[in-house]
Amino acid sequence: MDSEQIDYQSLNYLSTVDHNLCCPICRSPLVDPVYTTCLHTFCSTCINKALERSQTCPVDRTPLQAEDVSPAPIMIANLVNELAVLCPNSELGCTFTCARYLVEAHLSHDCEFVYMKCRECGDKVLRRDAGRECLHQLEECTHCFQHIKKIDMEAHEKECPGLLGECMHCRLEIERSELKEHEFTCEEATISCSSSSLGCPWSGQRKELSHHQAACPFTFLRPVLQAHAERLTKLELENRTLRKRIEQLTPRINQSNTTEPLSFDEQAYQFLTEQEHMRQDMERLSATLGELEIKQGMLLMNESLRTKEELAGIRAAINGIRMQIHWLLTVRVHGTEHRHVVGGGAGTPSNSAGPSHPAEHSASRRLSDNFGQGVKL
Amino acid sequence: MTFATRRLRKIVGALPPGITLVRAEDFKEWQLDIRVLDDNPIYKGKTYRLSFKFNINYPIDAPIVTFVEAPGITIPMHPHIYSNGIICLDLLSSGNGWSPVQSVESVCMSIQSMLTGNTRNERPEGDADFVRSGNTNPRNIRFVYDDPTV
Repeated sequence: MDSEQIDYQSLNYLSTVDHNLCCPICRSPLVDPVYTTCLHTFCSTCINKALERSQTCPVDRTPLQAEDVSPAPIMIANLVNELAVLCPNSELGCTFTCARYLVEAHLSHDCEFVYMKCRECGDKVLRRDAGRECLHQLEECTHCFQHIKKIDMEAHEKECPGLLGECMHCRLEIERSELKEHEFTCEEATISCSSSSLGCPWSGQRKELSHHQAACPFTFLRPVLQAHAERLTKLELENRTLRKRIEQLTPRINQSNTTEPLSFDEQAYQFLTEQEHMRQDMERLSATLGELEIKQGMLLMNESLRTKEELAGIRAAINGIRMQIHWLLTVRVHGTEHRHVVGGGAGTPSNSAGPSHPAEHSASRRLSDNFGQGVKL
Repeated sequence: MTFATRRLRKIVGALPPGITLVRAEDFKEWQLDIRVLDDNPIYKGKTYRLSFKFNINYPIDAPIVTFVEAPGITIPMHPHIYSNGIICLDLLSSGNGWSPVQSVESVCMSIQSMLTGNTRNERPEGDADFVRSGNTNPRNIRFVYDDPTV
């Protein structure tokens, strides 16, 4: 066993220990005593825990650091280490007592109540049983023939179903496994009348039941009473369901009485306002549409007027041009004829051929012009 | 067995006069009744009940100590005791007031003397507001210890 596992602060001491040898924090005899620069003595674990929380001496509150703590004089350590203590396993049965510093050795070598590994199977076993044969082998119980580990046999014998047990009513000795069953048939067991559910107050030993039932008025009336009871439960059930239905329905009626007309009015009002809004929108829209139509008409009229005027202007211009062309053509035709007549001998063949071509050309052009005009107008 | 349990086990036994253990079934909460032993007219003949709540780090951590009500038992009137039982005492604060060398007995005796020395039959200032705030854990409260007279 490890020394760390020994809880020195919970050891039981043989005699009451002088309080001067106790740690003021844990109130137990000092374990691994240390003392501070302010000369107070504590267990080393206790003062370390206290310094984690507050860096002052727990007794006089002077500032204190972990390095201000040093091991106490050996005399103090010896005083507490030689206090006589009970073995930590005293509750399990060990009666050994020794000086505190010997406890560790006792536990690791001698104490019979320390768990060890079994030599054969490695399971846990008390030291006192470790030297013997392996207690973890299965063994047959002589009463119930179950297979049980030897180490558990003692506990098993307290509850073995194969052992005899005494019936608490007739004092008969019966196997424990059958004891429960026996209780349902034991003649001496106290039972109540089979009509107790109907109200019969009788209770007595089972062997007297038949005698009682011969005279029991509840047993006579049993069919009638039972029918009544059945009917009662049926009606109760029905009543309950009906009540539930009523509960479900009542709040709904209340709701419909109060809230629905209100909501209807609200809805109607909402619809009406909505309709009004739509009507107003409609009027506005139709008014805008009329205005737009008029505007459009005006625009169209203006445009067409201007176009007509322009058309008239253009026609006049064309007429003018036509007149001019006409005039020019006539002048030219007349002019060439005149030139032909005047300068025909003097002109070279190339010269004479030149002007005749354009004349033909312009004539055909005029024709086409005339033709186009006819179509246009 | 934890450190706190071991330590608390040592106490059951001799308690100072005027202090009786009422309930100590486990090592989480104890209840003790205390009486003021002198003739202070505010507390004469009355018994009050203290509740100690220990955590696993006791006695390194301070226990939570409050007065509690019970049938026939009220919260004592004192300028440092709120009507919900919370006690304003530097010894019980987790900061610098508590020391691991304190114990249930020493706390009881401190509270006893705090009652004995009191002459004012009144509650702390702002008691109603404090109680209404619903703070029942003294650890969450920052007291200002400014009254050297108690």
